Amino acid sequence: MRPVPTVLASGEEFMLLRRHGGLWAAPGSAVHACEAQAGERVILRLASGAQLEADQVLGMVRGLGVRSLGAVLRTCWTESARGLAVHAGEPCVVIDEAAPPEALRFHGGVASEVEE
Amino acid sequence: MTEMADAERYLLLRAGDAFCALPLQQVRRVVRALTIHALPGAAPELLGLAEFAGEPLPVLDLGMLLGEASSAAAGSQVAGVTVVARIGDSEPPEIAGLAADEALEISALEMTRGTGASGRHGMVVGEALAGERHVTVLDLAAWKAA
Amino acid sequence: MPSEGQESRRPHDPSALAVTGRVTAIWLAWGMGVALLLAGGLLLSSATAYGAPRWLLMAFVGMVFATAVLHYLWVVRGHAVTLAPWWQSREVAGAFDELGAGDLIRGAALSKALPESVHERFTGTTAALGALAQRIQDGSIQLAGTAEGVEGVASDLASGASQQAASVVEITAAMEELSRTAAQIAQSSSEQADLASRAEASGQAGSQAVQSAAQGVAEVQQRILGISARADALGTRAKEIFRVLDLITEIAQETHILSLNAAIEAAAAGDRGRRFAVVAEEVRRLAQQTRESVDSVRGLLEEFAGAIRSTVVATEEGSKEVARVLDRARAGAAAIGELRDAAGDTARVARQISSVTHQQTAASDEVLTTLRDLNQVVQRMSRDLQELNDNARRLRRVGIGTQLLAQTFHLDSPRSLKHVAEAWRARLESAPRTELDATLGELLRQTPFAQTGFCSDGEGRGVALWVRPQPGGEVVREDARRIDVRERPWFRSLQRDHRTQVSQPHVSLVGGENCFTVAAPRLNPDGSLAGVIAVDVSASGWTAI
Repeated sequence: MRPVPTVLASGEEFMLLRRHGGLWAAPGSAVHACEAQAGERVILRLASGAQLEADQVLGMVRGLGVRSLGAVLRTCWTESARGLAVHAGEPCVVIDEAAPPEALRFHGGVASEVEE
Repeated sequence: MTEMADAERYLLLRAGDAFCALPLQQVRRVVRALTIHALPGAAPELLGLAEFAGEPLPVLDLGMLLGEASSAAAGSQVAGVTVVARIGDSEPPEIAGLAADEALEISALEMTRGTGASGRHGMVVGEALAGERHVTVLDLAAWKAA
Repeated sequence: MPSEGQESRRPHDPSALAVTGRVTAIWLAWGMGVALLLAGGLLLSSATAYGAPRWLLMAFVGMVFATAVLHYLWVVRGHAVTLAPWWQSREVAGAFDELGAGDLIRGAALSKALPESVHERFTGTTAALGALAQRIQDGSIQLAGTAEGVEGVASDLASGASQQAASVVEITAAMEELSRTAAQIAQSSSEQADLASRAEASGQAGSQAVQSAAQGVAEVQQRILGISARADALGTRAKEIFRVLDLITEIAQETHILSLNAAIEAAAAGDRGRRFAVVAEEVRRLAQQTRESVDSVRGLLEEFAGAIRSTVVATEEGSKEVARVLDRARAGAAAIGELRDAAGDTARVARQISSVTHQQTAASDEVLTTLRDLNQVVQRMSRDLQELNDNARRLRRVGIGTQLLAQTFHLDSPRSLKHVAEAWRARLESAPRTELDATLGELLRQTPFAQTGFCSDGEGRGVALWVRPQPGGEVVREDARRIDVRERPWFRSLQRDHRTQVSQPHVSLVGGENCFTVAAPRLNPDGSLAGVIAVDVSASGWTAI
């Protein structure tokens, strides 16, 4: 009776990011540029023009099993995302490059820690 | 041992000082508390995401679903249990985790009072007596997006 | 005041008497020779006529021999005094009277009336007597000066000896106090030495007691450390038991969850899972009982662990307290040891002080004895010096007495007071009456050793008075009317004898000091006393004569 996972992009390459303690996956094709900041902080410029801020870039991964968000997440989380996945036993959110979550957005200036 | 009909059997849980009963057919698994990763921007009752059987699992705070204060801290391995249960009535069924302090027992209950769909997300449907305890009866299938 | 016929008023004229006596003696010698020859012839004829006894012939021969001797003595040798005529006896008596009154000058003058040989011998005798009086006078002055010096030195020495005696008394008193103090110090030091010895012994006992206590505490500390180690071991074991209980709890929890999941699966299996659900329930209850048992054991174990922790804490605190007590005991032992050593040092030093102080006391006693002897010596010396002072004072009085005795002689010397008084009288009698007072002042001024110059009438009432307030100082005139010498013994003698007098020492009517007076009479033409010229010589300044 396990739910059947919905694989959305099994062969796609993703960039794994660490931000606010959580694991995030950005589609590799959407990442236009990376700009290293102080320490391991990285500013990602997406093809859409949006800029993301990551505490750490873990690397690229291919073959994530991306599942849809489901009703609970859509109800209790206001952000939009392409889906959820698990990497190395840890859940991660696959972001929508067109509407990345506010928690990852970089609004210019000095890269800063966003209050949770 | 008293034989109980499936429709009457509930899993009794404790969340803080509150006790509740989940219909046994909605419960898929009881596991020790899963590690929860907080999700920025989530509602208070959504503690975060966990991994269960290789799949991502949203975990809800049972106490907050009952209208109690939060009893679980996200992002950490807390004492207690996570009840993996089917939530809502969608097909294929959607699975979510409920963070509780303790899974007490499986017991047959007779609802003493129906409350209709109340509580957060309208899952509280009534009350029952388990021994001398007053328990809140939840119906996870009654999940509402509101 | 000169007057005519003064010489005739003198008792005798020595030169006239001497010429008259010598002529008389020659005539008397020849007369007696003729008388003896006549008497011898008469005896010779009688002897021829009456058979001439032999004794008559011997008497004749004797008379001739006596006549020859007398002739030789009177005519050839001129010794006529002893056999001078009776009218010369008055001059001889007068000369001897003057000599007896001490007036050698007048006595020698009277002797001129005597035969030449007698006059020469009389003059020689008076000169020798005058020289003797002068030497006595000089000797008395030297004696008085020496006595005065001795008196001064003796007085100074007596004063010094008195001060020395007082100092010796003070030193003796101080030494006695010092000796008493030294004895007290010696006593105190001895007592202190005893106390310090007892303190040293007590310190020794205390040190041993504290060391024994420290050893006991150290043993207690070792035992507490053993208890602590055992308690730690028990705590470790309790923690191991807790881990086992945690593990059992974990297993029971897992079993409980497993039984729940089994029940869930049994429920999902429907009827086929009913029996399995029963087993799952039994497993759940077993797990529940296990948990409850573990909780019970955990409770007991927690009590046990709490007791162990309390024991550990108590033993740690006890160990710390014992360590502190041990430290304090060791510190106390060290302090008592130092105290004991200090008491020993104190006892040693106190014994030394006591010994030294005893020696000091003995030395002080010896010094005290010596000082007492010295005190007696000094007091004896002071008495002797006082006696010497008295003797010197007496000797000085003897000097004055001798001086006065010598001054009873009227010598032809400026140091003869009678000579001075009569020189004053001659000067005053030759001076006009109006200048009598000034002449008296001038005379006093010219006589440094004189203290007072005084003239009175024949009744002893003052006529003129000059005094010298300070020895060797200026003279001043004073009112003579306040002077009355009628009751003075020297004035009465002078009234009686009309001779120059030297008085015995008396209190001066002017200055109140001791003095003696030399007074010469002024006589009227009829021989009555017209007045007195008196000179006072201070008893303290007479040696300036």
